[in-house]
Amino acid sequence: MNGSVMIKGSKNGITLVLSETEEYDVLKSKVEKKFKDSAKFLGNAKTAISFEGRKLTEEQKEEMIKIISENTELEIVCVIDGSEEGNAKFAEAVEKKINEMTGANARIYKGNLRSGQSLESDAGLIVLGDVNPGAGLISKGNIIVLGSLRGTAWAGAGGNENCFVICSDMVPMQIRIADIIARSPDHKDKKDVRDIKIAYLEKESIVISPLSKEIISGLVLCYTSSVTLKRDTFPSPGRAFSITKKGLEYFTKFSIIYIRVFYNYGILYCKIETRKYLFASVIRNT
Amino acid sequence: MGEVIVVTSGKGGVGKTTTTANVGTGLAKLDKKVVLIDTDIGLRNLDVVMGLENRIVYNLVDVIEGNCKIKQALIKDKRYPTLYLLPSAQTRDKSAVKPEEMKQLCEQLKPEFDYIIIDCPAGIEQGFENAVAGADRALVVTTPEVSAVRDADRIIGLLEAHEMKKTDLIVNRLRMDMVKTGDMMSSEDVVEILAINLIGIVPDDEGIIVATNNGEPLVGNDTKAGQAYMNICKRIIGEEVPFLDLNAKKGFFSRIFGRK
Repeated sequence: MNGSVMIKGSKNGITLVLSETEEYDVLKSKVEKKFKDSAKFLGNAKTAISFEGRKLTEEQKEEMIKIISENTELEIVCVIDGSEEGNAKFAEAVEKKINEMTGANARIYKGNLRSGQSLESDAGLIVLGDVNPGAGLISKGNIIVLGSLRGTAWAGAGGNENCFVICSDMVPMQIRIADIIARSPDHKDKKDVRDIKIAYLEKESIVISPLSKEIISGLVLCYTSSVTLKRDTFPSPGRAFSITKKGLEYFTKFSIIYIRVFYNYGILYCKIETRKYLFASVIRNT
Repeated sequence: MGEVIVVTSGKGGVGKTTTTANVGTGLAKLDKKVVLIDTDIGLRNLDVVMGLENRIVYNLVDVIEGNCKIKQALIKDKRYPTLYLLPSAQTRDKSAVKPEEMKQLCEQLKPEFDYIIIDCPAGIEQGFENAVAGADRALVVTTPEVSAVRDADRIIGLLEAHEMKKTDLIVNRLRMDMVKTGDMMSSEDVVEILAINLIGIVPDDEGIIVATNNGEPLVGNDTKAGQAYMNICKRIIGEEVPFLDLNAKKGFFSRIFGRK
Protein backbone atom coordinates (compact mmCIF):
# COMPACT_ATOMS: atom_id res chain seq x y z
CA MET A 1 0.00 0.00 0.00
CA ASN A 2 1.08 3.52 -0.61
CA GLY A 3 0.45 5.81 2.34
CA SER A 4 2.50 8.80 1.31
CA VAL A 5 -0.32 10.38 -0.70
CA MET A 6 -3.94 10.50 0.42
CA ILE A 7 -6.95 12.31 -0.91
CA LYS A 8 -9.68 13.11 1.57
CA GLY A 9 -12.95 14.60 0.56
CA SER A 10 -15.22 16.86 2.61
CA LYS A 11 -18.00 19.27 1.86
CA ASN A 12 -15.40 22.05 1.71
CA GLY A 13 -13.50 20.41 -1.06
CA ILE A 14 -10.60 18.02 -1.02
CA THR A 15 -7.70 17.67 1.34
CA LEU A 16 -4.44 16.32 0.00
CA VAL A 17 -2.45 14.60 2.73
CA LEU A 18 1.21 14.30 1.78
CA SER A 19 4.05 12.48 3.46
CA GLU A 20 6.72 14.62 5.02
CA THR A 21 9.58 12.21 4.49
CA GLU A 22 9.16 11.35 0.83
CA GLU A 23 11.35 13.01 -1.86
CA TYR A 24 9.37 15.78 -3.50
CA ASP A 25 9.86 14.49 -7.05
CA VAL A 26 8.79 11.00 -6.06
CA LEU A 27 5.82 12.48 -4.27
CA LYS A 28 4.88 14.43 -7.37
CA SER A 29 4.68 11.34 -9.51
CA LYS A 30 2.69 9.59 -6.80
CA VAL A 31 0.24 12.47 -6.65
CA GLU A 32 -0.07 12.34 -10.40
CA LYS A 33 -0.80 8.63 -10.33
CA LYS A 34 -3.25 8.96 -7.46
CA PHE A 35 -5.31 11.61 -9.24
CA LYS A 36 -5.16 9.81 -12.56
CA ASP A 37 -6.56 6.73 -10.87
CA SER A 38 -9.33 8.52 -9.09
CA ALA A 39 -10.18 11.01 -11.85
CA LYS A 40 -13.43 9.26 -12.63
CA PHE A 41 -14.44 9.11 -9.04
CA LEU A 42 -13.70 12.79 -8.42
CA GLY A 43 -15.72 13.93 -11.41
CA ASN A 44 -15.66 17.46 -12.76
CA ALA A 45 -16.55 19.58 -9.75
CA LYS A 46 -15.23 22.99 -8.88
CA THR A 47 -13.69 22.70 -5.51
CA ALA A 48 -11.32 24.00 -2.88
CA ILE A 49 -8.15 22.25 -1.82
CA SER A 50 -6.13 22.18 1.34
CA PHE A 51 -2.77 20.56 1.97
CA GLU A 52 -1.88 18.57 5.03
CA GLY A 53 1.04 16.65 6.41
CA ARG A 54 3.79 18.47 4.53
CA LYS A 55 4.85 22.09 4.18
CA LEU A 56 4.71 23.18 0.58
CA THR A 57 6.05 26.35 -1.00
CA GLU A 58 3.75 28.46 -3.13
CA GLU A 59 5.37 27.07 -6.27
CA GLN A 60 4.96 23.53 -5.11
CA LYS A 61 1.32 24.19 -4.34
CA GLU A 62 0.84 25.57 -7.80
CA GLU A 63 2.57 22.54 -9.26
CA MET A 64 0.21 20.29 -7.35
CA ILE A 65 -2.79 22.22 -8.62
CA LYS A 66 -1.40 21.95 -12.13
CA ILE A 67 -1.01 18.19 -11.78
CA ILE A 68 -4.58 17.92 -10.56
CA SER A 69 -6.02 19.96 -13.38
CA GLU A 70 -3.99 18.03 -15.96
CA ASN A 71 -5.06 14.64 -14.73
CA THR A 72 -8.62 15.15 -13.61
CA GLU A 73 -11.66 17.13 -14.56
CA LEU A 74 -11.51 18.98 -11.26
CA GLU A 75 -11.18 22.73 -11.18
CA ILE A 76 -9.40 23.98 -8.10
CA VAL A 77 -10.75 27.42 -7.39
CA CYS A 78 -9.43 28.02 -3.95
CA VAL A 79 -6.60 26.97 -1.66
CA ILE A 80 -7.36 26.76 2.01
CA ASP A 81 -4.23 27.70 3.83
CA GLY A 82 -3.52 26.75 7.41
CA SER A 83 -0.13 28.42 7.81
CA GLU A 84 0.31 31.30 10.22
CA GLU A 85 1.77 33.50 7.54
CA GLY A 86 -1.16 32.79 5.28
CA ASN A 87 -3.59 33.55 8.07
CA ALA A 88 -1.84 36.83 8.81
CA LYS A 89 -1.95 37.89 5.18
CA PHE A 90 -5.55 36.88 5.07
CA ALA A 91 -6.37 38.91 8.17
CA GLU A 92 -4.63 41.89 6.61
CA ALA A 93 -6.62 41.56 3.41
CA VAL A 94 -9.80 41.27 5.40
CA GLU A 95 -8.86 44.30 7.49
CA LYS A 96 -8.49 46.23 4.25
CA LYS A 97 -11.86 45.01 3.14
CA ILE A 98 -13.39 46.12 6.42
CA ASN A 99 -11.92 49.56 5.85
CA GLU A 100 -13.37 49.70 2.38
CA MET A 101 -16.73 48.75 3.73
CA THR A 102 -16.94 51.68 6.09
CA GLY A 103 -17.37 54.11 3.22
CA ALA A 104 -21.11 54.05 3.27
CA ASN A 105 -21.72 54.94 6.91
CA ALA A 106 -20.85 58.34 8.27
CA ARG A 107 -20.57 60.29 11.47
CA ILE A 108 -22.18 63.70 11.26
CA TYR A 109 -20.74 66.64 13.15
CA LYS A 110 -22.23 70.10 13.36
CA GLY A 111 -19.99 73.01 14.31
CA ASN A 112 -16.72 74.64 13.39
CA LEU A 113 -13.47 72.83 14.02
CA ARG A 114 -10.81 75.22 15.22
CA SER A 115 -7.04 74.98 15.35
CA GLY A 116 -5.94 72.05 17.50
CA GLN A 117 -9.26 70.22 17.26
CA SER A 118 -9.58 67.05 15.32
CA LEU A 119 -12.32 64.63 14.48
CA GLU A 120 -11.76 60.95 13.83
CA SER A 121 -14.14 58.35 12.57
CA ASP A 122 -13.94 54.69 11.63
CA ALA A 123 -16.74 55.37 9.19
CA GLY A 124 -17.22 58.36 6.93
CA LEU A 125 -17.33 61.91 8.21
CA ILE A 126 -19.73 64.73 7.41
CA VAL A 127 -19.01 68.15 8.89
CA LEU A 128 -21.61 70.90 8.85
CA GLY A 129 -19.29 73.83 9.46
CA ASP A 130 -15.79 75.06 8.76
CA VAL A 131 -12.51 73.26 9.37
CA ASN A 132 -9.89 75.90 10.19
CA PRO A 133 -6.12 75.73 9.65
CA GLY A 134 -4.57 73.55 12.33
CA ALA A 135 -7.71 71.44 12.65
CA GLY A 136 -7.90 67.98 11.16
CA LEU A 137 -10.35 65.34 9.99
CA ILE A 138 -9.38 61.68 9.91
CA SER A 139 -11.78 59.19 8.46
CA LYS A 140 -11.45 55.62 7.29
CA GLY A 141 -14.20 56.39 4.81
CA ASN A 142 -15.17 59.48 2.86
CA ILE A 143 -15.18 63.07 4.08
CA ILE A 144 -17.77 65.65 3.20
CA VAL A 145 -17.48 69.21 4.52
CA LEU A 146 -20.38 71.60 4.07
CA GLY A 147 -18.29 74.66 4.79
CA SER A 148 -14.71 75.72 4.22
CA LEU A 149 -11.99 73.13 4.51
CA ARG A 150 -8.91 75.15 5.47
CA GLY A 151 -7.20 72.55 7.64
CA THR A 152 -6.21 69.01 6.85
CA ALA A 153 -8.41 66.10 5.81
CA TRP A 154 -7.45 62.43 5.61
CA ALA A 155 -9.94 60.19 3.88
CA GLY A 156 -9.44 56.44 3.61
CA ALA A 157 -7.15 56.48 6.65
CA GLY A 158 -7.32 52.68 6.72
CA GLY A 159 -5.88 52.45 3.22
CA ASN A 160 -8.97 52.57 1.02
CA GLU A 161 -7.94 54.33 -2.17
CA ASN A 162 -11.50 54.74 -3.38
CA CYS A 163 -12.24 57.33 -0.71
CA PHE A 164 -12.80 60.97 -1.55
CA VAL A 165 -13.18 64.41 0.05
CA ILE A 166 -15.95 66.76 -0.98
CA CYS A 167 -16.12 70.36 0.28
CA SER A 168 -18.25 73.34 -0.52
CA ASP A 169 -15.09 75.47 -0.24
CA MET A 170 -11.88 73.59 -0.95
CA VAL A 171 -8.87 75.49 0.42
CA PRO A 172 -7.12 72.77 2.44
CA MET A 173 -3.68 72.86 4.00
CA GLN A 174 -3.26 69.20 3.18
CA ILE A 175 -5.38 66.40 1.82
CA ARG A 176 -4.55 62.76 2.30
CA ILE A 177 -6.28 59.87 0.66
CA ALA A 178 -5.09 56.43 1.80
CA ASP A 179 -1.27 56.79 1.85
CA ILE A 180 -1.03 59.69 -0.60
CA ILE A 181 -0.50 63.25 0.65
CA ALA A 182 -1.05 66.45 -1.28
CA ARG A 183 -0.26 69.90 0.11
CA SER A 184 -1.66 73.27 -0.87
CA PRO A 185 0.33 75.34 -3.36
CA ASP A 186 2.67 77.91 -1.76
CA HIS A 187 1.08 80.72 -3.69
CA LYS A 188 -2.68 80.88 -3.66
CA ASP A 189 -4.45 81.30 -6.94
CA LYS A 190 -6.63 84.37 -6.37
CA LYS A 191 -8.73 83.68 -9.42
CA ASP A 192 -9.89 80.39 -7.96
CA VAL A 193 -13.66 80.55 -7.49
CA ARG A 194 -15.47 79.19 -4.48
CA ASP A 195 -17.19 76.09 -5.68
CA ILE A 196 -18.07 72.58 -4.54
CA LYS A 197 -15.04 70.47 -5.26
CA ILE A 198 -13.97 66.88 -4.87
CA ALA A 199 -10.54 65.43 -4.15
CA TYR A 200 -9.94 61.86 -5.21
CA LEU A 201 -7.10 59.56 -6.05
CA GLU A 202 -6.11 58.97 -9.63
CA LYS A 203 -2.95 57.07 -10.53
CA GLU A 204 -1.26 57.63 -7.16
CA SER A 205 -1.87 61.36 -7.09
CA ILE A 206 -4.66 63.44 -5.64
CA VAL A 207 -6.84 65.27 -8.12
CA ILE A 208 -9.08 68.18 -7.14
CA SER A 209 -11.84 69.11 -9.52
CA PRO A 210 -15.31 70.66 -9.52
CA LEU A 211 -17.97 68.13 -8.63
CA SER A 212 -19.59 67.28 -11.93
CA LYS A 213 -22.31 64.74 -12.63
CA GLU A 214 -19.82 62.52 -14.45
CA ILE A 215 -17.56 62.40 -11.42
CA ILE A 216 -20.43 61.63 -9.06
CA SER A 217 -21.53 58.74 -11.23
CA GLY A 218 -18.00 57.39 -11.25
CA LEU A 219 -17.67 57.27 -7.45
CA VAL A 220 -17.39 53.92 -5.76
CA LEU A 221 -19.12 53.36 -2.45
CA CYS A 222 -18.75 50.09 -0.59
CA TYR A 223 -21.68 48.79 1.36
CA THR A 224 -21.80 46.47 4.28
CA SER A 225 -24.64 44.04 4.37
CA SER A 226 -25.56 42.28 7.51
CA VAL A 227 -25.66 38.53 7.18
CA THR A 228 -26.72 36.01 9.72
CA LEU A 229 -25.62 32.51 9.10
CA LYS A 230 -25.74 29.33 11.03
CA ARG A 231 -22.58 28.38 12.79
CA ASP A 232 -22.11 25.19 10.88
CA THR A 233 -21.55 27.17 7.72
CA PHE A 234 -17.97 27.66 8.88
CA PRO A 235 -16.27 24.35 8.85
CA SER A 236 -12.66 25.46 8.84
CA PRO A 237 -12.17 27.85 11.74
CA GLY A 238 -9.02 29.92 11.90
CA ARG A 239 -7.95 29.18 8.39
CA ALA A 240 -7.10 31.58 5.67
CA PHE A 241 -7.74 30.77 2.08
CA SER A 242 -6.56 32.09 -1.23
CA ILE A 243 -8.23 31.95 -4.55
CA THR A 244 -6.26 30.32 -7.34
CA LYS A 245 -5.88 31.80 -10.80
CA LYS A 246 -8.37 29.33 -12.11
CA GLY A 247 -10.69 30.21 -9.28
CA LEU A 248 -10.41 33.90 -10.00
CA GLU A 249 -11.28 33.29 -13.63
CA TYR A 250 -14.13 31.21 -12.46
CA PHE A 251 -15.40 33.73 -9.95
CA THR A 252 -15.13 36.63 -12.31
CA LYS A 253 -16.98 34.63 -14.93
CA PHE A 254 -19.89 34.68 -12.58
CA SER A 255 -19.00 38.30 -12.01
CA ILE A 256 -20.17 38.12 -8.48
CA ILE A 257 -17.80 37.85 -5.59
CA TYR A 258 -19.13 38.86 -2.27
CA ILE A 259 -16.50 39.17 0.34
CA ARG A 260 -18.27 39.71 3.57
CA VAL A 261 -16.83 40.30 6.94
CA PHE A 262 -19.04 40.17 9.94
CA TYR A 263 -19.30 39.37 13.62
CA ASN A 264 -21.35 36.57 14.95
CA TYR A 265 -21.32 35.62 18.62
CA GLY A 266 -18.07 37.51 19.10
CA ILE A 267 -16.37 35.71 16.23
CA LEU A 268 -15.17 37.61 13.21
CA TYR A 269 -15.92 35.78 10.02
CA CYS A 270 -15.04 36.29 6.42
CA LYS A 271 -17.08 34.74 3.71
CA ILE A 272 -16.56 34.62 -0.01
CA GLU A 273 -19.64 33.76 -1.90
CA THR A 274 -20.52 33.17 -5.48
CA ARG A 275 -23.87 32.08 -6.83
CA LYS A 276 -22.96 28.47 -6.35
CA TYR A 277 -20.09 28.22 -3.92
CA LEU A 278 -19.34 29.44 -0.51
CA PHE A 279 -16.01 29.64 1.24
CA ALA A 280 -15.84 30.92 4.71
CA SER A 281 -13.34 31.29 7.46
CA VAL A 282 -13.05 32.52 10.99
CA ILE A 283 -10.66 35.42 11.25
CA ARG A 284 -10.61 36.25 14.94
CA ASN A 285 -12.20 34.72 17.92
CA THR A 286 -12.54 37.58 20.36
CA MET B 1 29.19 69.70 17.19
CA GLY B 2 26.28 72.08 16.83
CA GLU B 3 25.16 74.76 19.25
CA VAL B 4 21.66 74.74 20.73
CA ILE B 5 20.18 78.23 21.06
CA VAL B 6 16.87 78.87 22.79
CA VAL B 7 14.90 82.00 21.91
CA THR B 8 12.83 83.04 24.88
CA SER B 9 11.16 86.09 26.43
CA GLY B 10 8.70 85.29 29.18
CA LYS B 11 6.12 87.69 27.81
CA GLY B 12 4.09 86.78 24.76
CA GLY B 13 3.97 88.77 21.55
CA VAL B 14 7.40 90.35 21.76
CA GLY B 15 8.69 88.52 18.68
CA LYS B 16 10.23 85.19 19.73
CA THR B 17 8.87 83.32 16.75
CA THR B 18 9.74 86.10 14.31
CA THR B 19 13.25 86.22 15.77
CA THR B 20 13.63 82.42 15.55
CA ALA B 21 12.50 82.43 11.92
CA ASN B 22 14.76 85.31 10.94
CA VAL B 23 17.84 84.23 12.86
CA GLY B 24 17.46 80.68 11.56
CA THR B 25 17.01 81.80 7.98
CA GLY B 26 19.89 84.27 8.35
CA LEU B 27 22.27 81.57 9.60
CA ALA B 28 21.23 79.34 6.71
CA LYS B 29 22.01 82.27 4.40
CA LEU B 30 25.47 82.31 5.94
CA ASP B 31 25.79 78.66 4.78
CA LYS B 32 25.23 77.14 8.20
CA LYS B 33 23.20 73.98 8.59
CA VAL B 34 20.29 74.95 10.82
CA VAL B 35 17.27 73.27 12.35
CA LEU B 36 14.45 75.22 13.98
CA ILE B 37 12.40 73.49 16.66
CA ASP B 38 9.01 74.83 17.63
CA THR B 39 8.33 73.82 21.24
CA ASP B 40 5.08 75.74 21.54
CA ILE B 41 2.96 72.58 21.63
CA GLY B 42 -0.72 73.36 21.11
CA LEU B 43 -0.10 76.88 19.79
CA ARG B 44 2.30 76.35 16.96
CA ASN B 45 3.23 79.34 14.83
CA LEU B 46 6.75 78.93 13.54
CA ASP B 47 5.59 76.80 10.61
CA VAL B 48 3.18 79.58 9.59
CA VAL B 49 5.83 82.29 9.83
CA MET B 50 8.20 80.11 7.79
CA GLY B 51 5.44 79.38 5.25
CA LEU B 52 5.82 75.64 5.72
CA GLU B 53 2.50 74.81 7.39
CA ASN B 54 1.20 72.82 4.44
CA ARG B 55 4.16 70.45 4.55
CA ILE B 56 3.65 69.15 8.08
CA VAL B 57 3.14 65.41 8.31
CA TYR B 58 4.91 64.49 11.54
CA ASN B 59 5.75 66.76 14.46
CA LEU B 60 7.85 67.11 17.61
CA VAL B 61 5.54 64.93 19.70
CA ASP B 62 5.60 62.20 17.04
CA VAL B 63 9.40 62.21 17.25
CA ILE B 64 9.43 62.16 21.05
CA GLU B 65 6.85 59.37 21.20
CA GLY B 66 8.72 57.38 18.57
CA ASN B 67 5.94 57.42 15.96
CA CYS B 68 8.46 58.46 13.34
CA LYS B 69 12.15 59.00 12.81
CA ILE B 70 13.59 62.49 13.29
CA LYS B 71 14.44 62.69 9.57
CA GLN B 72 10.82 62.05 8.64
CA ALA B 73 9.58 64.94 10.77
CA LEU B 74 12.14 67.51 9.59
CA ILE B 75 10.71 69.82 6.94
CA LYS B 76 13.19 71.22 4.46
CA ASP B 77 12.79 74.95 3.90
CA LYS B 78 11.54 76.00 0.47
CA ARG B 79 14.25 78.64 -0.01
CA TYR B 80 17.38 77.43 1.77
CA PRO B 81 18.51 73.81 1.43
CA THR B 82 20.46 73.84 4.70
CA LEU B 83 17.47 75.01 6.75
CA TYR B 84 15.04 72.59 8.42
CA LEU B 85 12.02 72.92 10.66
CA LEU B 86 10.77 70.50 13.29
CA PRO B 87 7.19 71.67 13.80
CA SER B 88 5.24 71.44 17.01
CA ALA B 89 2.04 69.43 17.52
CA GLN B 90 -1.20 71.37 17.48
CA THR B 91 -3.57 68.83 18.99
CA ARG B 92 -1.51 68.17 22.14
CA ASP B 93 -0.28 70.23 25.07
CA LYS B 94 3.03 71.02 26.74
CA SER B 95 2.87 67.97 29.00
CA ALA B 96 3.35 65.70 25.97
CA VAL B 97 7.08 66.35 26.18
CA LYS B 98 9.47 66.15 29.13
CA PRO B 99 12.64 68.27 29.54
CA GLU B 100 14.75 65.09 29.58
CA GLU B 101 13.34 64.05 26.21
CA MET B 102 14.07 67.47 24.69
CA LYS B 103 17.63 67.21 25.95
CA GLN B 104 18.02 63.83 24.25
CA LEU B 105 16.54 65.18 21.02
CA CYS B 106 19.01 68.09 21.01
CA GLU B 107 21.90 65.70 21.58
CA GLN B 108 20.75 63.62 18.62
CA LEU B 109 20.56 66.68 16.36
CA LYS B 110 23.86 68.24 17.44
CA PRO B 111 26.17 66.16 15.24
CA GLU B 112 24.03 66.85 12.17
CA PHE B 113 23.59 70.60 12.42
CA ASP B 114 25.65 73.73 13.09
CA TYR B 115 22.82 75.44 14.92
CA ILE B 116 19.69 74.12 16.59
CA ILE B 117 17.36 77.01 17.34
CA ILE B 118 14.50 76.43 19.74
CA ASP B 119 11.44 78.64 19.70
CA CYS B 120 10.28 78.79 23.32
CA PRO B 121 6.62 79.34 24.22
CA ALA B 122 5.59 82.32 26.37
CA GLY B 123 5.44 81.71 30.08
CA ILE B 124 7.67 80.04 32.63
CA GLU B 125 5.92 76.69 32.97
CA GLN B 126 6.51 73.29 31.41
CA GLY B 127 6.91 74.67 27.89
CA PHE B 128 9.77 76.89 29.05
CA GLU B 129 11.38 74.02 30.97
CA ASN B 130 11.22 71.85 27.84
CA ALA B 131 12.67 74.55 25.61
CA VAL B 132 15.67 75.42 27.77
CA ALA B 133 16.49 71.85 28.86
CA GLY B 134 18.88 71.08 26.02
CA ALA B 135 20.08 74.61 25.25
CA ASP B 136 23.70 75.75 25.37
CA ARG B 137 22.87 79.37 24.84
CA ALA B 138 19.87 81.71 25.11
CA LEU B 139 18.62 84.72 23.21
CA VAL B 140 16.27 86.78 25.35
CA VAL B 141 13.90 88.87 23.28
CA THR B 142 12.23 91.92 24.76
CA THR B 143 10.50 95.02 23.53
CA PRO B 144 11.22 98.42 25.13
CA GLU B 145 8.13 98.22 27.30
CA VAL B 146 8.17 98.03 31.06
CA SER B 147 6.07 94.86 31.17
CA ALA B 148 8.23 93.02 28.62
CA VAL B 149 11.44 94.08 30.38
CA ARG B 150 10.02 92.92 33.72
CA ASP B 151 9.29 89.48 32.26
CA ALA B 152 12.67 89.35 30.53
CA ASP B 153 14.32 90.01 33.89
CA ARG B 154 12.40 87.12 35.42
CA ILE B 155 13.44 84.86 32.53
CA ILE B 156 17.10 85.83 32.83
CA GLY B 157 16.93 84.89 36.51
CA LEU B 158 15.47 81.49 35.58
CA LEU B 159 18.10 80.98 32.88
CA GLU B 160 20.81 81.70 35.45
CA ALA B 161 19.20 79.15 37.73
CA HIS B 162 19.41 76.67 34.83
CA GLU B 163 23.11 77.55 34.53
CA MET B 164 22.78 78.71 30.94
CA LYS B 165 26.29 79.21 29.62
CA LYS B 166 25.58 82.29 27.57
CA THR B 167 22.61 84.66 27.53
CA ASP B 168 22.28 87.53 25.06
CA LEU B 169 19.64 90.19 24.69
CA ILE B 170 17.69 91.29 21.62
CA VAL B 171 15.73 94.51 21.88
CA ASN B 172 12.91 94.20 19.40
CA ARG B 173 10.50 96.67 17.86
CA LEU B 174 12.39 99.80 18.84
CA ARG B 175 10.95 103.08 17.53
CA MET B 176 13.62 105.74 17.36
CA ASP B 177 11.11 108.54 16.90
CA MET B 178 9.45 107.63 20.19
CA VAL B 179 12.78 107.16 21.96
CA LYS B 180 13.73 110.67 20.87
CA THR B 181 10.56 112.21 22.25
CA GLY B 182 11.11 110.28 25.46
CA ASP B 183 7.99 108.15 25.05
CA MET B 184 9.90 104.88 24.76
CA MET B 185 12.78 103.28 26.62
CA SER B 186 15.98 103.29 24.65
CA SER B 187 18.02 100.12 24.16
CA GLU B 188 20.53 101.55 26.65
CA ASP B 189 17.80 101.84 29.27
CA VAL B 190 16.83 98.22 28.71
CA VAL B 191 20.40 96.98 28.90
CA GLU B 192 20.93 98.94 32.08
CA ILE B 193 18.07 97.16 33.79
CA LEU B 194 18.79 93.67 32.46
CA ALA B 195 22.58 93.88 32.63
CA ILE B 196 23.35 91.23 30.00
CA ASN B 197 25.17 91.39 26.68
CA LEU B 198 23.19 93.12 23.91
CA ILE B 199 23.44 91.14 20.67
CA GLY B 200 21.01 93.10 18.54
CA ILE B 201 18.50 95.89 18.19
CA VAL B 202 15.66 95.38 15.73
CA PRO B 203 13.65 98.46 14.74
CA ASP B 204 9.87 98.34 14.44
CA ASP B 205 9.08 97.61 10.82
CA GLU B 206 5.83 97.14 8.90
CA GLY B 207 7.75 94.81 6.64
CA ILE B 208 7.79 92.24 9.45
CA ILE B 209 4.00 91.99 9.40
CA VAL B 210 4.00 91.53 5.64
CA ALA B 211 6.79 88.97 5.86
CA THR B 212 5.03 87.03 8.61
CA ASN B 213 1.78 86.93 6.66
CA ASN B 214 3.55 85.76 3.52
CA GLY B 215 5.62 83.21 5.38
CA GLU B 216 8.88 84.66 4.13
CA PRO B 217 11.38 85.89 6.74
CA LEU B 218 12.86 89.25 5.73
CA VAL B 219 16.34 88.71 7.15
CA GLY B 220 19.08 90.02 4.91
CA ASN B 221 16.89 92.16 2.67
CA ASP B 222 17.40 95.90 2.51
CA THR B 223 14.94 96.91 5.22
CA LYS B 224 16.36 98.06 8.54
CA ALA B 225 14.84 95.09 10.34
CA GLY B 226 16.23 92.70 7.73
CA GLN B 227 19.71 94.13 8.20
CA ALA B 228 19.41 94.10 11.98
CA TYR B 229 18.53 90.40 11.94
CA MET B 230 21.41 89.65 9.60
CA ASN B 231 23.77 91.45 11.97
CA ILE B 232 22.49 89.35 14.87
CA CYS B 233 23.26 86.21 12.84
CA LYS B 234 26.77 87.40 12.13
CA ARG B 235 27.34 88.18 15.81
CA ILE B 236 26.06 84.69 16.70
CA ILE B 237 28.72 83.08 14.51
CA GLY B 238 31.32 85.31 16.18
CA GLU B 239 31.79 88.19 13.75
CA GLU B 240 32.25 91.69 15.09
CA VAL B 241 29.56 93.87 13.52
CA PRO B 242 28.83 97.46 14.52
CA PHE B 243 25.25 98.30 15.50
CA LEU B 244 23.07 99.85 12.80
CA ASP B 245 22.48 103.55 12.79
CA LEU B 246 18.74 103.58 13.29
CA ASN B 247 18.62 107.36 13.17
CA ALA B 248 19.54 107.52 9.50
CA LYS B 249 16.84 109.41 7.68
CA LYS B 250 15.35 108.11 4.50
CA GLY B 251 16.90 109.87 1.52
CA PHE B 252 14.66 111.73 -0.91
CA PHE B 253 15.22 109.31 -3.80
CA SER B 254 15.07 106.19 -1.73
CA ARG B 255 11.81 107.42 -0.24
CA ILE B 256 10.39 107.75 -3.75
CA PHE B 257 11.60 104.34 -4.82
CA GLY B 258 10.65 102.80 -1.50
CA ARG B 259 14.10 101.60 -0.49
CA LYS B 260 15.63 101.85 2.96
